[in-house]
Amino acid sequence: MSAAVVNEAPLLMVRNLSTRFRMGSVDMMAVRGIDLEIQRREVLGIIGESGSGKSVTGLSLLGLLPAHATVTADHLSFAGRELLPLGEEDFRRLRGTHLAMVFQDPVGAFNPAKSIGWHLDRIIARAATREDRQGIDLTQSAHRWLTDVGIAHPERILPLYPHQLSGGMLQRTLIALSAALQPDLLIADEPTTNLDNIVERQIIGLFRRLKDKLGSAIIFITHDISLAVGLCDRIAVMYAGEIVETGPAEVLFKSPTHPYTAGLIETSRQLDERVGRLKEIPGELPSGLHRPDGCLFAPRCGYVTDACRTSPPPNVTLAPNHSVRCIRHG
Amino acid sequence: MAESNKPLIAVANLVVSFAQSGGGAFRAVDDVSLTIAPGEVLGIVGESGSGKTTLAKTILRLYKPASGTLIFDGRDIGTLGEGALRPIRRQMQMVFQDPLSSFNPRVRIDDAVALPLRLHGRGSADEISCKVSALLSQVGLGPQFIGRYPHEMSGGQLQRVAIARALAVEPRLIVADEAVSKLDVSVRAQILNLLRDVQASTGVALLFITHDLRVARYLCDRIGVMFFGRLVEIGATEDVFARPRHPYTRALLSTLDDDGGELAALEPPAPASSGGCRYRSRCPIAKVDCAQHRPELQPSTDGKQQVACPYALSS
Repeated sequence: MSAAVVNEAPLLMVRNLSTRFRMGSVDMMAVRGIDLEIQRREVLGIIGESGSGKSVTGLSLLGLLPAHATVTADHLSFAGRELLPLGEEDFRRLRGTHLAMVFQDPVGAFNPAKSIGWHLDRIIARAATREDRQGIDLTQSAHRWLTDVGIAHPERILPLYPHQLSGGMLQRTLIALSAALQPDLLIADEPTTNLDNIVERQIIGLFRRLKDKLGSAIIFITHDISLAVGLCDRIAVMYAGEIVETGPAEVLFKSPTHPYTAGLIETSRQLDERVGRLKEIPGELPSGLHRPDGCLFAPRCGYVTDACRTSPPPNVTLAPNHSVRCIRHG
Repeated sequence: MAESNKPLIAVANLVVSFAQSGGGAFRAVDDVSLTIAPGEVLGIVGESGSGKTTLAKTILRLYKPASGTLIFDGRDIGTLGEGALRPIRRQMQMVFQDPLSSFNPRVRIDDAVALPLRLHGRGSADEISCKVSALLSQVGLGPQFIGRYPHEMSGGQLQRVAIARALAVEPRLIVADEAVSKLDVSVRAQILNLLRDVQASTGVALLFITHDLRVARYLCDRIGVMFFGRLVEIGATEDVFARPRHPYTRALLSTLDDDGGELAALEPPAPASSGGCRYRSRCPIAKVDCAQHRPELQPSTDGKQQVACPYALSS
């Protein structure tokens, strides 16, 4: 493996990205002013609950949102190229070659009327359009990936249709097909949530090897912080459309700074220690339309002060790689 | 296992099968035996398709067993007709995975909680309305929620209503099928605490179906592990997690280790028709005669668990 790539420009750089949906006469801001960067060969975890904006972030990055969504950003640059000004045709050329996404529901990702082999052929045709792929036997590489994800005899599943495979097999196949594309950036949105524990673990191991073998960058979106800690280099925690804390995975896990991150990790630990009563984070996420003034977490926070309720907290840099959006550290 | 307490539920050699489109029958639950003591929390874990939900629904007699016995409180309810089941239904309630789809969107949540009370003739209109308020308050929902419709509630709040509705008729068993799986992580702790509180204060037995091993370990007194319709291991939670015996249980629990997850090919289970152990196609300790004899549950050598593998009893 090559030496450290610290000084390289990030593969993906996001500055002040916001995504809003027009809903009748009002705008619903699903993602608000987030900053992200990711290097090659890095796994970035985006943690959040339903409604936190984590999936919308992934879809915004790939330009996959419907027409009533508006994405704005100061910068959304991929390999040095600004993505937002791209026309749909140019964007489409990047997707499936340089950028790829794995969704939570593998069944919905396949055309039910076509065989697995048909999907494979399409993917290979797409991957082959990249200039730096000329002369590579992509079919052989795809077969190797299928073997690597634990499908011992790929030729046996190629004539099958999606409904003939179990959910776990289908998700493995989907990930193998995505890997066969050899994208520079793979976004995986809750890829293991519908799978049983054994398959989930295997898929996590698979992503690790994907990173090592391909040198791809991976954005791993999940609601499960303990899962993310095992896979990711860095983690961004989202709450109600904002990134509230971002830092190296082990730092976040050992010494979380934002009360929300700390609450999630505490619950996870207490579950393992079988304590008599779990520490609760009271209340629930604010809805997209009724946002509190000031800090969005204030109504649920144990450290809340009057100041938290009046003005939004600053984003504080604690270390070069670690920042938190909380007044206590301002 | 202690025999001092008469079990609330005693299932023996239970088989539940569904007709298959191509003819023949598929055994979703295949010769399962287990008991649930009054006030006990029994967890059933296993992958999707392993028969956990079918087992639970059969215990509730939403399905009819193909064979075997199903004893509730000393009475065989496996073959009872709908009329004879009615008084027993009151004693067994269910909480589902998806709170939104377990409510009629046009029925206010206080009416949803009142309905089982009305159906079972539990008091006058005034008494029922008092009881509904008390139930909602028991699950942490104040009077401001009365009159709301399901879409006006969050997932966590609705799951509280579902628990209140299940408690309304003072059941002796609540089946919770993946009851916290769809909830947000920050809300899950609230509902787990609530289930514990409710269980402790009412003494209701809980059959907790989940694929989440950490939640099962947290909540349950005993754990049963299912693999393709068979119960392969059952025992006290501490014992099963400290020393899993069955090779499948071990594979399952190894996923809790940080560096678990060798990417072995997951062979499909050995066909049910072949006889023998269905796990043998994946099993690292399979022997030749695993294809001949279907292993029955038997006590491990230290007597702590029941294990359906003759080669894993002392491991």
